[in-house]
Amino acid sequence: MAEWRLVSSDHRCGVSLEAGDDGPLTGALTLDGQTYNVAGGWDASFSVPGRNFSAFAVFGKTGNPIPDFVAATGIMTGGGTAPTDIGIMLDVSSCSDGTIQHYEGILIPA
Amino acid sequence: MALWKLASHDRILILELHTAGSEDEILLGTLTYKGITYGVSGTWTASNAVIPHSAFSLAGNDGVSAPTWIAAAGIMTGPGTAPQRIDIQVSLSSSPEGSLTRYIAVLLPGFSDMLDTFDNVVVLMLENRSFDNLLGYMYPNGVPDNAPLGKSFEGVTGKNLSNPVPPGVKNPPPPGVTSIPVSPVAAGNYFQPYPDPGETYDHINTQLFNLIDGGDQPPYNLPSERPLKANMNGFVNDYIENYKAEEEKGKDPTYDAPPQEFPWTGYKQIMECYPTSALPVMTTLAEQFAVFDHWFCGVPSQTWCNRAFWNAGTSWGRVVNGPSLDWTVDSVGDTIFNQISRSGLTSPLNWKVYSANPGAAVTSLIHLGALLPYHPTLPSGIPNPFNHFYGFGRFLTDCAAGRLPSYSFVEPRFITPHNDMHPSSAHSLLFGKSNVGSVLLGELMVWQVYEAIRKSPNRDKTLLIITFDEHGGCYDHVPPPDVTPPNLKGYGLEDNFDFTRLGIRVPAIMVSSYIAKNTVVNARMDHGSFMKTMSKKWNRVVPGAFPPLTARVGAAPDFSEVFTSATPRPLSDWPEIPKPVIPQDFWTTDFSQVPLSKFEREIVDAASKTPEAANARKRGISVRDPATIGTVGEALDYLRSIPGLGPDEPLDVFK
Repeated sequence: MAEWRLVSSDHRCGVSLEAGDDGPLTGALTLDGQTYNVAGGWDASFSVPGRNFSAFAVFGKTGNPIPDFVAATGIMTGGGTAPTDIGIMLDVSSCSDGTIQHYEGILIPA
Repeated sequence: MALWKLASHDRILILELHTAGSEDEILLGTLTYKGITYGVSGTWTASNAVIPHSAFSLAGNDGVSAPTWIAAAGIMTGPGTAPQRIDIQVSLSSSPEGSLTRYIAVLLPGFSDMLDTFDNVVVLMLENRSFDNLLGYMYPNGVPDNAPLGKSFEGVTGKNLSNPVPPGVKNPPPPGVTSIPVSPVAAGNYFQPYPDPGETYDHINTQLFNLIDGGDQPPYNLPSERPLKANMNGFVNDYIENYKAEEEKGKDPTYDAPPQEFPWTGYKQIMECYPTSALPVMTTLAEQFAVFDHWFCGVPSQTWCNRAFWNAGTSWGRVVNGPSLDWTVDSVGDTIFNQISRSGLTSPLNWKVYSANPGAAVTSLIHLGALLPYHPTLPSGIPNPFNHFYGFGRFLTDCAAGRLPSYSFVEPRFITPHNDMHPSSAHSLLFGKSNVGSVLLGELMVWQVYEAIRKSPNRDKTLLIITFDEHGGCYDHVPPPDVTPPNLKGYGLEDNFDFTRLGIRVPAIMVSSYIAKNTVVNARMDHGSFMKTMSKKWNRVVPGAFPPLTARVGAAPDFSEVFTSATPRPLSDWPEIPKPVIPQDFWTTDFSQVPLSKFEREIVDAASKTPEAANARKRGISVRDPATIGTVGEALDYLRSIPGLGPDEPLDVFK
């Protein structure tokens, strides 16, 4: 089990994820001060032929009574125990106003 | 539990989910994006008096060994039991490519994948042309006029594409020229590139990576650390090497040749691509119906393995055409033809191979073990009541009579005068006095197949696919992507190739009454996409009869997004294309003394390994040693001396 703690340079977005050796990802994703509990999976690069990059996806929501939902995919560079950066795309759908917001950026170790 | 089934208007994104959990708060199911299905799970919250909007998020992957991950967030409108609309934003992360992709759509219920719009599929598989070589000059603006937002066309116009001239080349280009740009083939040249480029695995590695290291021995011109994307920079280098080693042994090609030196054999021609005006039949069909601009062949190599990938989803570890005896061992592997034949006595599905090749259908040789029960004659020499192999003339009459089977696989003529569009070997003399070339002859065959379908009573229920087995050494600028290999356990890996990357792009055109004009499919497809799509369709007819034959097929995208018209077009909207004009003296030209090409020799050699040939030898009616055959005339005499090996029709069938 490894912990990925990375944040964007403007501190708008960050992740704190526990990465299991067999692929599960769990933890928290923050965007603009809002925290989402997320779960998903990942695959380590070069662990099988053709898997040239480490890639992942997570989904989750806030704990609010009127929740917002988040879905994110990313490409991770570096070792699974100590990522050096993550390229991330995420979308947030809001139960409160019916909008979907998009964010993309690079996360670096916090 | 509720079921959500919604799709974007163009079916690029299809959502199929059911709700689960004690409060129905869990979402389980699939997202299908550009023909690839992702297993996903997620969660949602329904709107109520307190919560103004229903929202959800989910994530998952495509389930292959080198997966692409997908995640999506959305807003759902309507009741949870029957959503009326979903606004969705999707992102994907690819472990093979390292790319992040985004897609936005509105999903609505009531969609169909439209695979029920056809009862008959006709595949015309031609030979050895890349996408750029034949279709690269289409849509010079990079997209059809009035194309939907986000559509593009990956051709050659405006991209400043070129390949370097290798340093130290014996006949160098003019001073100052260090690279050769893509340019159009000259008008009236229907045999470019001449002579034939290299097409075996080692040659294609040079074309992809511009490295010569080992040739047909390890490492087969493959860089020790393969770059993730090929630079597509070695076509000139390889063309020169192949010319010296294979086509004109010991001679060096010139850079260019003056027009009076017909045929033109300069090495700059490998960078030439046909202008649309040279291919009015193919480019009209591609414009008036659909063209796929990212269809990759199954293997970066030759005919036999790529044709095997189309109909069997594997080449059983084989990378090159020969030796034919090895192919006969592995050719017992299952095919889509066998699946159809096994689908049951009450199954409405059936198949035929219509071959225009004289004396032997190549499909019957590639799949000798699997398809022997369906050859024209039994090994004892008597006609086979279960024959599935017919000539091209029979295709034309079956089409006219509305008697096409569910699956028609149409072969061109491979033996000179070959109309398969394969670049001709040195000294082939196909152009002879008539100056036609395989490309013009191929245009005629495409026209014949299209016209037969256009006039068929089953026109509106027929899907025509025109494609190519491989790129054949012709220039293309798009690096082939990595891919899921087929099941290879128990098979040797010829030339150490692990089948984790696709071959180079080939043209793929689809014609149907349910395809709108100017349709361009940008999604990545490969030869496995054919079986994937047909399995999806035919499993509805005979449930469970069409499991994916290999992991490659299972992972392939299906091409159902090509159906872009909800209603069939009237006959008046099927374009009438002028018949290609072949000079009259072509039909009376004697090709019997033309030297046999490597490909033609491989056909003869494979034919000699069949039970029919063994029986003919036993009866003393086919006694020639095939190794002594040197000309087209001798090859045809030999094939005709083996009774029942395949259909044999006069050249007039193409008139």
